[in-house]
Amino acid sequence: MASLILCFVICVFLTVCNSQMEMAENPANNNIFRSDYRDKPIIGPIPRNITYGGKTLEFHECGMMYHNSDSMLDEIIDIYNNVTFGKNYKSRCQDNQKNQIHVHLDFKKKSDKYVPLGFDAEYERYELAVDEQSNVNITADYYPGIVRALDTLSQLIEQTSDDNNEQYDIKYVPIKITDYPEYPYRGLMIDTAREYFYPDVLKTALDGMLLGRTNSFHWHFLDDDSFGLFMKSYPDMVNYTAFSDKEIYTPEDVKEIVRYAQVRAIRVIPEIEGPGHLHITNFYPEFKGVIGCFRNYTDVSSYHGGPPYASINPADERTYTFIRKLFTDLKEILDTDYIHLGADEVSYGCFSNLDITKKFLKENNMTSGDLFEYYIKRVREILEDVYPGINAGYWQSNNPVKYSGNKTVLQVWGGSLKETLKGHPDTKVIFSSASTYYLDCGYYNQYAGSSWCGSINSWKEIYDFNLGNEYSAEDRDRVLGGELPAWSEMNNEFNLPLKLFPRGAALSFRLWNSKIPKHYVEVPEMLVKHQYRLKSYGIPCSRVTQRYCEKHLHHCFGKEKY
Amino acid sequence: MAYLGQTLVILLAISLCWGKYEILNNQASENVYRSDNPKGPIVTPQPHYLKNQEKHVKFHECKVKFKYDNDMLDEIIGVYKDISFGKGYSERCTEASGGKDIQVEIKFDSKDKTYLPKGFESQHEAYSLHVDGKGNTKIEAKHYPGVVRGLDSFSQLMTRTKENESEYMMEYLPIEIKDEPSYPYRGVMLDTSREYFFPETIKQILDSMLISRLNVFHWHLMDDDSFPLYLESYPDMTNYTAFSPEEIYTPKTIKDIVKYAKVRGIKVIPGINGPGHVNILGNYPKLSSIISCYRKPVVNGLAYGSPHGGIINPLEEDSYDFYTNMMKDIHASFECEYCHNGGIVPEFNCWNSSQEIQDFLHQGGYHQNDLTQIFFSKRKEKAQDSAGHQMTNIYWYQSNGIKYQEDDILQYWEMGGKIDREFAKYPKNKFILSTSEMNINCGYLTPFGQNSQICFSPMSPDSYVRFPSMSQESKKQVLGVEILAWNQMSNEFDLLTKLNPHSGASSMIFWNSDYELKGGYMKERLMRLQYRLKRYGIPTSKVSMRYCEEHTHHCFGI
Repeated sequence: MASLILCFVICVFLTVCNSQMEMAENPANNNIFRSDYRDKPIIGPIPRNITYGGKTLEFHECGMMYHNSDSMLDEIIDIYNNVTFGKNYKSRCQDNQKNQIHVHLDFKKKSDKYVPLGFDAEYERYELAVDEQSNVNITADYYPGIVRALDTLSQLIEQTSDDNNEQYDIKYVPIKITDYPEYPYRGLMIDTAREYFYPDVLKTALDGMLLGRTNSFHWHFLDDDSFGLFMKSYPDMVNYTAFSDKEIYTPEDVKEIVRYAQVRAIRVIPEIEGPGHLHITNFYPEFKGVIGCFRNYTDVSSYHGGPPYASINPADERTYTFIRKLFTDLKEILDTDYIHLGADEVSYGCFSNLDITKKFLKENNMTSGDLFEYYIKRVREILEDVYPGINAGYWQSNNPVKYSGNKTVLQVWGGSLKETLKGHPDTKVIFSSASTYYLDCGYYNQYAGSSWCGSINSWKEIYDFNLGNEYSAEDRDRVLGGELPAWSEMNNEFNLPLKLFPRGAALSFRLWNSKIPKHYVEVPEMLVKHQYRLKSYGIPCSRVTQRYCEKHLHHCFGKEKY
Repeated sequence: MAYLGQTLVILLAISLCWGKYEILNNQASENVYRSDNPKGPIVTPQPHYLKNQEKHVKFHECKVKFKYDNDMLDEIIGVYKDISFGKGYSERCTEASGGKDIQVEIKFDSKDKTYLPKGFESQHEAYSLHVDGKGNTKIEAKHYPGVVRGLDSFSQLMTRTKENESEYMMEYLPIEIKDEPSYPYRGVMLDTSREYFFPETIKQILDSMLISRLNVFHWHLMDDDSFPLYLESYPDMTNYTAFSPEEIYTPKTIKDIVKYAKVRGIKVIPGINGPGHVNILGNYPKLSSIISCYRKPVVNGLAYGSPHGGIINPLEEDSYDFYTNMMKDIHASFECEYCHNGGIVPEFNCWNSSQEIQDFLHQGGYHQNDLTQIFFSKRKEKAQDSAGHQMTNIYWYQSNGIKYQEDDILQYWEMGGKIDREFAKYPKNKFILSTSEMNINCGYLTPFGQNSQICFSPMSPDSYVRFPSMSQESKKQVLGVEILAWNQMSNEFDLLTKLNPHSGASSMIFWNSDYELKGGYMKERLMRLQYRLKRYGIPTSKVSMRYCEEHTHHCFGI
């Protein structure tokens, strides 16, 4: 009996200690995620090929020794030191005496660009090996590969305990990873025309994209509501087209944002919307009258998300003058392999009754429908003239225009991907279906009504969606990937990052490796880890699940098979 | 025809000029909302009596001089200077500048220095405000909250001019306002058990409540997931029940927050739970005996949003000792007049699984509901009455025949449709309205990444400008409204954007339920609130798109 009591006392004691341990190891108070069940490294996205062992390497945070012969990598190494060990790493670790982890960077530099031109999954390929002698060997042909390797490494490194926050470890050594994405395009679109976002907000978004392995930032800066880009060719235009004199992107801002993105292995895709959704251009005196229905709306609901809404006139030569100057100005400040040319939601009503249009149609023996086709052709010619050989993107939803050419990218936001592939035989496609990928769906709209595209597309819907089911095998090489658009009618600086994250990662984690884990809990697990990484780097983020479940993922999500 | 064309050109030219003017003087970049169809002074909520004329006056921000003889008002006047003119007012306005003063005289004689009078009565917030043709103002109130509301209305009468960022104007003078709320209880409940929020975030919520004219902060401290309140009686408890050692509310923190709220005219009501939703107490070894079914999910998946289901064992005497000790500590730091006692009926499966409880029910011929009743009565008797803590109890209303006392306040949290029927069951009780649409998280995702089953999608602020439909009889039982923030899926980044401007929208209608708000005029008020919050540094959602902020009446009509 006495021994029974003793045993009981010990048991209680153990329970007490255990729960205290649990409390002390709580993830949220120091922004570190710890899973309640561990038997392998947690990396999002799951590497394509990984083997691991059972040893643990412990080291001091200042013990990271990089063997790097290329100064091009200095900046991203600094960024990842801050991501891994917390901000201000450099000032904490000035003398690097406690060398314990040697990171050997073998950068083959097959291109000297941060983001090599064109869409190729090989650009992000890397190999990473951690051996028992504290060596980390990283090999990559291209810069983005190095960035992804550093990202994976930063996820392998964890704080050992909460009591000593300078001690870190890498578990499951030796580790060997060979990794590359399944889809070369994993994008987020931000609409800065419906609402202006200061460059700092965009940089925060780019930091979030880096950690979520998003590699394309589609910048929708021109739409009905505002055009905040300063153009050298029309220096007074923003006086008329920006929301205010403070809400402008100067050439320096753009250069800075593009550079910021490229260092993070993110391409920037500017979008020149047209001929629809260009109401704002009519505010500029030089383009007065290019739009025939300026501010003339009667029915709010019929105007493609407006008012305001208006199409620019493809029969008016001033349209092309504007677009040529826009491309020319852009080229000076923005080096890119892909420009988006919009072309969604065109209404002819705004220009078909203008005299200039009637005359043009008569002279050229065209219908109003032909005009749209004519606009596409003219703009493409100008683009080719200014940016030879560049990829051009178009919004696509059962569009009547016959697009062609392997430098043409159709961003499918409605209708079927299969049909689009069939109807435009040599183009590339990016999937952005509103019903799964639009980030504004489900939230109340600007008229306090419900969203036009159903309920909120959750991280789970986005991750669970299998892009591979949307096309046939022979079209595989034509499918570049997917993109989540964040239309900004109802976004502001407070909620933009919350709408982007963690859903951006849910998309790119799945597009990087479409093979779903055996136990579904690994999906919320890598997303919760991502959420904590964002938070510790100062990036606002929505929750994946409730606090209790973050701590007890396996209790909440079980070990059920997917 | 030519004449028509000419007219069109002129019209176009005019609209272009307007376009330019509008854009260069944009409101959002300076966080000031300007109506595109101004029509008299806009004070939100709409005062019950407002009369105005057509004079206006311009003045420098530093020329507004407050005259009062009660130092209780120092702090709130400082707060309202920052709300009216932007933060950092006292640093900007150190020396006198030119122009005439705007005199603001406050008549308030409180002998006992009480911030918040006892009880909930509309007259506590009553005030009158008179601005003469030169801008000189007189605010009169009997009670402190009335002064706060008077200052709030006054702050809304002043707008920054477009020309000069330190120049303000008051229009439509002289103005005469007499005002008090239709309903004296306009609250926000914050769940700090599903997620911990640091005191800074709570203070931000209190600031937003001040600007939104909400006067009750119901602090839901205890639930299944964590219990972060430090109790003197159980000093080691938070080691087991808080999310982490940093995520704790100490008595010092509580007192600080209660004081912060009080200055802003906000009463703090602590909320505890029992018999349901107390699983976390089972983490604490000293209390393990009072919890049945610790960490056992009692239904498949989630039990009311919690993945575990420990509940109080009402037959255990220690249960009441715990509540007695806890109430003593809560009373010491909150000095509360009201206590929210939970009361959501637990999963009976849990009690059913205990032989001891089964025997008790069987021998007494009791139903499980009776056990809840026994728990309520015994807890009240021991933890409040015997301990000498006189307080009014608030319960989550349950339509299952529980006998409440006549002075108990019941919080109605079910769907709106059957209010009349349910209120009629307790004709002598007062109700707080928190229908399921009044939960700011309604419509957001579940913890499992699924869409909400109750609300199809997040609710717009407009939907909060609505009084639930009910009979005139039922209306007499309404004490007020409370917006609920259950925080399974909120964090420090999104909480404020979910609360704002929604909770302020509800107070528009509960402050003045006789004033009909619609079209552009309702949107205008919501946007004005959004800009006032943003200017004071409080995160908020948008009411509409940017374009419609500048063209409110164009987008939404007159």
